[in-house]
Amino acid sequence: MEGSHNMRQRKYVYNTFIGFLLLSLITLALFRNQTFGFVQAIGEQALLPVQRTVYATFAPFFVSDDAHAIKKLKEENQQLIKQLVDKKKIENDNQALRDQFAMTAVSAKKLLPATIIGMRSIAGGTDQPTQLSLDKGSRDGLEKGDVVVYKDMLIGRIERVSPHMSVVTTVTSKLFVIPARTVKTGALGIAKGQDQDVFFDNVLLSEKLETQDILVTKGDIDPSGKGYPPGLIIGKLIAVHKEQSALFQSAEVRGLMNVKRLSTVFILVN
Amino acid sequence: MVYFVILLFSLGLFLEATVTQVPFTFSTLLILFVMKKSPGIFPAAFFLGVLLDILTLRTIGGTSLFFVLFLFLVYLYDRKYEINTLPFIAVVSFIGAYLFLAIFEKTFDFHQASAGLLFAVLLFVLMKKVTRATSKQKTYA
Repeated sequence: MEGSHNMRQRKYVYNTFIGFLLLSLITLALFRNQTFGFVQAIGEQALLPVQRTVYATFAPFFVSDDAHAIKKLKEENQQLIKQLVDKKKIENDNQALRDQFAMTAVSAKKLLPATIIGMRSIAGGTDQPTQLSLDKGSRDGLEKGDVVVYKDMLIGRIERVSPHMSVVTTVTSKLFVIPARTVKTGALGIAKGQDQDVFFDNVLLSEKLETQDILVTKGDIDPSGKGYPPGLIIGKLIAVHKEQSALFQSAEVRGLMNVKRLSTVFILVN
Repeated sequence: MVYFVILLFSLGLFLEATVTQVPFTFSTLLILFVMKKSPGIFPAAFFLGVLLDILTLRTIGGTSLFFVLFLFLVYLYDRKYEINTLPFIAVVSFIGAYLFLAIFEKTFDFHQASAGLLFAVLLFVLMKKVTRATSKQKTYA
């Protein structure tokens, strides 16, 4: 009697599983080629206010409360670093012009402000976020790969876009890899996200790396105007690792901005 | 109990979509499935997966597929092992969270998977206590 009940129960579980497995597969197939993108758009519009409210409610618990003075000092420091980068840039530009190097023209960009509606990190806000959700999407002209900035700081790039929302991979994400150079010494390498910080790797041993030097984007723009403009600040070198036996040297980079404190970011759109 | 589960799912879903990558929804589904062993969890897994995909801008259906498949695999283990135990929950929630993060977040993160495990274990212990208290009350009544 009990055996037959178990058998019936098992059959019921199997049938339910097969039903929902097929339903999941059909849903996945339908939404994979964006044929039913409007359904996603409707769902997003319905859920966006809830998501915004949840973020607004929980974000204060996850953002540590720095003293006002420290905040002010950090802002001043950012300003000074920005001035330093600008000064160095002008010097480099002058040098380049003197050497009759033609500067690559970067196509005109427009800054689109977007509100952060989600900030996902590994430990839920006690660390640097690796993903940001923004309230702007493809209807606002955003595309995958668009660069996200705040002032002169690189925040990340758009990873996924839907009609009303977009997801940004921040520079500290392990998925983030970008060519970069140091401002003072001009060393070239690859900046890689490390969840908390950024790692500046693949720098030739012949190049010079110094702590406190500023790391900026090297500039990587394709003919359509997409990509990273040069000179966006990634962070400051805090430690250099150099071994004569190794192929490359590397450095640890600390971001100059507390992304957790941001509520608005800007997207470079063509 | 039903309200508690709905609250848990809603909170987990929106927290997962806004402030953390720890797979709360997956862990909650796993615990419920292990404790109830009810096929009614499959529709919940499907709809929660769809909602999670909408909120995190993933292709709709992917998360549902993962949830449904994983829960079914857990059900298959029920024939060989006692799945309603803490060690089983610990191992399966860790593996599941690790796979989930690898597939959907493209990150092989031990810490996040461990956070998923911790959440699952705590929830399992809590649910066990709640269930025991409820059944005791029913017995006395």
